[in-house]
Amino acid sequence: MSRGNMGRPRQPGAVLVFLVFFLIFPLNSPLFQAQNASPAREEASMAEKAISIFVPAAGISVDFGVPKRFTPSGSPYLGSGAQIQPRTPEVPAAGEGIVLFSQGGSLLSSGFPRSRDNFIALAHDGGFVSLYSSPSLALSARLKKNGVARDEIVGTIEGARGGQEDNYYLRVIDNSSKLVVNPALFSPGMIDRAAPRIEEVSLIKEGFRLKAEPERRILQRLAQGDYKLAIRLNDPSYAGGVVSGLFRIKVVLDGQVAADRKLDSARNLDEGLGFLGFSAPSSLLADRDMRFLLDGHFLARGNHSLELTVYDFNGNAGTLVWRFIVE
Amino acid sequence: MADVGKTATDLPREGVFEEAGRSFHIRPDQQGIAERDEGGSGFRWEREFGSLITTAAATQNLSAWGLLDGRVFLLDRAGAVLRIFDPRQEGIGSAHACVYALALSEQGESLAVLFGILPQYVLVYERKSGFYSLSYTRKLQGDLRSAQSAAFARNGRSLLVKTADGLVFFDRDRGKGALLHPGRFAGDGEMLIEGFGDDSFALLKASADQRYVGLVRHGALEACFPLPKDSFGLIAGEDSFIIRGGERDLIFTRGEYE
Repeated sequence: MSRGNMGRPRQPGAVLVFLVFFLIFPLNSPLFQAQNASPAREEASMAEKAISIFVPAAGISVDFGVPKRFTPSGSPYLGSGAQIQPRTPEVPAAGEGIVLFSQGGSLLSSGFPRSRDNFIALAHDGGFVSLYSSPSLALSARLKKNGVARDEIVGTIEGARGGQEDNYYLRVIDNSSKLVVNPALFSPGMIDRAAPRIEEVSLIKEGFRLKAEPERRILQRLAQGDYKLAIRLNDPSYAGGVVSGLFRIKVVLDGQVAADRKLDSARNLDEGLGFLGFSAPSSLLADRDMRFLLDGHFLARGNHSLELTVYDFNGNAGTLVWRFIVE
Repeated sequence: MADVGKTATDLPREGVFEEAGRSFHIRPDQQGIAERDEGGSGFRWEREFGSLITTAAATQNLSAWGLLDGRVFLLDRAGAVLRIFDPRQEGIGSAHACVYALALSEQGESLAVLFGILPQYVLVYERKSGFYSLSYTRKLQGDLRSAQSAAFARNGRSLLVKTADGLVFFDRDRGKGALLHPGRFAGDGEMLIEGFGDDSFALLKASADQRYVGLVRHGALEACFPLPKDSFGLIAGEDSFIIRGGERDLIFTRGEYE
């Protein structure tokens, strides 16, 4: 249904990291000032040095913004980190910091249980926090809680190789800006050349759904009205299982840009996580069939053309063009 | 067997927080919760938080959720936000914000928070005329970086919190706090605390291969003695409490102490 746009000019990943770094942080943030203070630094390592957080580039599968299901209620929510499969069952610190929080490995059956995972959180300079989780994650006994070096082992994970417990999940939080940040921004060496796939595009209105079938010879028809765009996306893995993750969704309707949203960060709001500039909670952005629900549009009578382009973090794109008639 | 008000199934299980007869399912990323309805077949409400849940407390009509970002959400029975507590906005100056323990009195007139690191604080908020205000602040010498146990007595008049410095006891009527037996209870050893009877607390303390049970009444340690080292759980009720063990449970009634 979608086609990979592998032939389009691609920005080098490092430059992309640099650009999106400026997009997510306000100009008056300490991070920005730190960057201005050292203009001679190489762009490729700008984000990494300024924030002092580094996310592994190998074995990484970013699920930031990807719809997930909360069983047993069945409600959707959006992922906010990256699954990482380390070469050894050890979890390295993403940067220099201190232990902020750990959960798991209790001798007693304490009052507040873990969800499924054990957790370790490290606090870094500038209000940043890196959060590690895995069902088998155990805090390293040798860790000095007030002095963790970058790449120091903060914990170990144990499990059968290839199982879920071989992975750990990493989230990066900017507490000073009240953001959960896409961890891909801190992994400049990540290489992903597999374009994201658009698996479904539908227009939805009050229980009615028209699924796009752009290959049909006869144009599809629907009644005039307000519609929401529902899209199901998939970013396949590249060599070594790397998934740079969905990063940008652009919708052009009748030649006009109707939506251009990035999955660079999610806001920490009172109602939950706000992705793509929408309000929280994240469950508002997906339906129970794990489709994104994007901006609503009034479709007037006439012929229309909708072009959806989805980019992953490394700039690979999948595009779908759909022409339809509104009656 | 004496009535302890709970059963063995009340002990925590993975992914489900059960307290005061209520059952909350925790989302795998620990940033969302859903409360089971009374029939257990569906869910009463769901809520997402913008940060990781680190600890929680619940009564029959209220629930409090502590987050990694240092805020506490107080929710009503329907899951609506009654108040968001952010100690930093009250001048509490820790280098890093995080909530490590919560206790909620039965009627919700008092909320206790173990907050922040470098330094860590015990905070008590009191509700007067419908508004909560910070009524007690205790700055601690040390800090703990994992979820800790805290509880109000069943009559709601006193509080006991496990801290790095020892057990912090707070008497609401006098508005004063005290550190109980720091030599015995300081450090990062694990501990469970539950309100026992009207005005007492039962404790279960764990070190590497030793377990101790204790009883605190009116701010004084009345008893403390060793237990089998496979003891792992504590369920306290009106007149008795149970220590859960690997091979057998031990039941203590008030008469045994008095």
